[in-house]
Amino acid sequence: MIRSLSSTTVDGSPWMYVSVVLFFLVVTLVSAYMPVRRAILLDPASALRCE
Amino acid sequence: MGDLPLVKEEMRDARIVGWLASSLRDLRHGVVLLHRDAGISALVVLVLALGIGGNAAVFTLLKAAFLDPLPYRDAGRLVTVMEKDGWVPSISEFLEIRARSRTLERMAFAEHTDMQVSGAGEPVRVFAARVTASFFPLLGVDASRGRTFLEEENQPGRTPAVILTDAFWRTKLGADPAVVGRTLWLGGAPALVVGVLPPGFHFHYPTLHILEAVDIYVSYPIDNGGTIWPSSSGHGLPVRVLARLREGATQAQAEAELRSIGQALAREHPTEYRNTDGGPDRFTFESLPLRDAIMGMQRSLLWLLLGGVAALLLIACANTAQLLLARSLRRGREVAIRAALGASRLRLIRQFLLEGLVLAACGSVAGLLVSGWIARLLVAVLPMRNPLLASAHSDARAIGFTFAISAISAIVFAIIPAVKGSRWTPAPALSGRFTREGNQWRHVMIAIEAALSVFLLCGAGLVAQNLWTLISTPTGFNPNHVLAMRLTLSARQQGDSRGDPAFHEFLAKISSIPGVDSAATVTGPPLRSAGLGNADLFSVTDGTGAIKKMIGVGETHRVSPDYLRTLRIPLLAGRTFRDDDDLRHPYVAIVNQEFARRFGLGGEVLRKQFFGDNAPVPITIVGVVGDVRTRGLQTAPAPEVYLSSLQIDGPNIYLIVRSAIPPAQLVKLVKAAIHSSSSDQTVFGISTMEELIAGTLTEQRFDVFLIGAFAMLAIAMAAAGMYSVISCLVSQRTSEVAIRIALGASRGAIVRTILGTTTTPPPSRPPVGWAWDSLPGT
Repeated sequence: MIRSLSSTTVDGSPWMYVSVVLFFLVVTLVSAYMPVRRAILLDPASALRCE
Repeated sequence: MGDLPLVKEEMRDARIVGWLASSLRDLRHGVVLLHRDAGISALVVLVLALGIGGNAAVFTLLKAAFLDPLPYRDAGRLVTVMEKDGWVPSISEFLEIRARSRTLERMAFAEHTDMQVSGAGEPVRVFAARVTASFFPLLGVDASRGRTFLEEENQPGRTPAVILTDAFWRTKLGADPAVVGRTLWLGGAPALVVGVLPPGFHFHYPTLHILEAVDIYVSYPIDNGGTIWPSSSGHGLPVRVLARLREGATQAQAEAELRSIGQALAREHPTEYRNTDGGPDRFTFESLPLRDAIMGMQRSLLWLLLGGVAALLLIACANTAQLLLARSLRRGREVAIRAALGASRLRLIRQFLLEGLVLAACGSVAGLLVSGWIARLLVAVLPMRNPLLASAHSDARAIGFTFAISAISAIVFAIIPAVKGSRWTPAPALSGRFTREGNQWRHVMIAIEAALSVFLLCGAGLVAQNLWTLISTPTGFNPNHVLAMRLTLSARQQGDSRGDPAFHEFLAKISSIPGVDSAATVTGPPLRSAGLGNADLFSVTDGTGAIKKMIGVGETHRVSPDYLRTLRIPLLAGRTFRDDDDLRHPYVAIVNQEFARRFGLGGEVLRKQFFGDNAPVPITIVGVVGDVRTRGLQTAPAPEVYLSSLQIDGPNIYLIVRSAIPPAQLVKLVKAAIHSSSSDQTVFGISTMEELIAGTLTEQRFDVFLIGAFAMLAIAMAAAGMYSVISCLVSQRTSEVAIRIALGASRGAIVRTILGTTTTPPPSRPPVGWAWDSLPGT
């Protein structure tokens, strides 16, 4: 699709696709960092008391 | 009992009034709730404003490109005529088409060139269009002062007539009210000003190869008696031909007629219209609606933009839906109480939908406000200037489109939260505890966002990789520390019949500047090639002078002796040009490797002779040089021929100077050197060779910027979405995590548990989830 719309001659290498997947994985891990950190630092006693 | 229909009607009215009143109450309630969650509401409005504003901006551009009328009279019937393969016709072809066509009722042409104007203060270089008298009537334009051209002003031998653009009249002539009738000097020859154009008129579209704004229009002296040549032969002067379809004639009829005229010309003039292999050419003309020609390749760019902003809006909707879903699930207690008090499911759904509509309305208003700014930004960063897009403006259609996509967005992002949020179960809802209701939908939305983001990232990666490939492509010359600039000789200098000696006088002075390594002239430097024609046909002879072979299309450059040294183009065999390669000696040429390879000359290139279409006598090859990417970094080197400028002259030329002196300082020194020889010589189009190379990659850079920006925005939105999903799921599973920790689960096990259930969407749970769960400690 990009080939038909863009002025660029599109020809990607496998490394580019691998880089994209790795980049997306990094973004996912960064997005998950804060909530996961909150979970692992949870104090079980106070959390269960609130429940 | 009274009148039954009347009672029914009153009951219906009462129901409508009741429905409206309850809707208004729900709306008010929704606004209060949104105000209470001001942070989330502001975030949603911001995200929607970006998505909706981007779509509104691109729609405004599309509207300007395809819907708004062109600023010319009856523009729907205007067409431009071209030769096959995109060449524009020559003047002789224009005259033939005008004489033979029955579907085109009025025709005009314009030829654009640089000129030097004096008689209006200091001599200035102007960009001029030389046109037929029919040019302005065809476009429906009248002069604001004086008149437009008369037919007799196109006859050769007359003093040229000049029409000034409003901008030139104001900036260069101080809006002189008595300008009509005044004489200006164009390249040293007198010309009579006959009119001034209205301020709004323009006809300078880079997509039509009119690369800058026209300053003046000059009447073209048309010689009817010339031989017919296609402009692609290098002989006929190429001109932009415009025409109007006759009333009732269709585009298809005009196409068919132009095809037959082209074929007839090729039959009648087989020598001029021969093919590259020497055989008869399959020559045709074609016509294109003016609007299509003006948009050119930018049409696909607009669709690319639309695809990008549509993907962003979809991600924005998915993100908003997630936030609203989380919010609606948190309101389980409120929903349960309202349901217990008698609210129906439909009423609850309507409540959520109205809240979505309020957010979409706020987003659309904010989007409308930013859309003008986004459109201006896009037009400013477009790789090619387009006056049609620059004139884009918001109107009722754009506002209507914005509200329509806002309403559709509201339905897209509010329907799932409304349906899921209105469903309630008494115990968890009334106890205020989170349930896992809606998690599947949130996973689906995250999957959509992830897919779109990865798609855009791949696109950005592809165009970036290709840009890098182009940047790393060897150009065949060394562009560092080389400055290029343009010169046009005045008529006085051209009157010597030998233009180049003037240039060589300039070269001698420039070369003597301390710090200048070398200087040379060329008809067009690499990547801004001018050649001596669009393309040339050559035929090679053997040693006896007999024609050995017809050999196809090549490109010709007229260069001064130091050209190859200045650009560091490697000499592979033979010699470079010498100062004695002049008219007193036989014509000589240097060819590139591709010339020798393409035409099968092998190692016997030197001393071979060839006939070019532009040369009446045989030209002897005296050297072979390396290939240069003359036509662009992504275009393979073509066969090229370098001719000595001491043997073939011409008025328009590029000057190139190699020096380590900083460019700004070098320009001053070069101008001073030129003016010491000729005080009225203008120098223009100054740029370094690095800038010329960068200029050829503008479109590719823009693609990277555009798709990269979309990808980064998409990934940012997707990251925010993932963050909110994982946060919400951690909140829902707090007690479970607490119990696991209390029972001795390690931190690694907790991390794997959360990531395993949150980053893996339900449809892919079986394979991926099984693998994840099988890890030790899960």
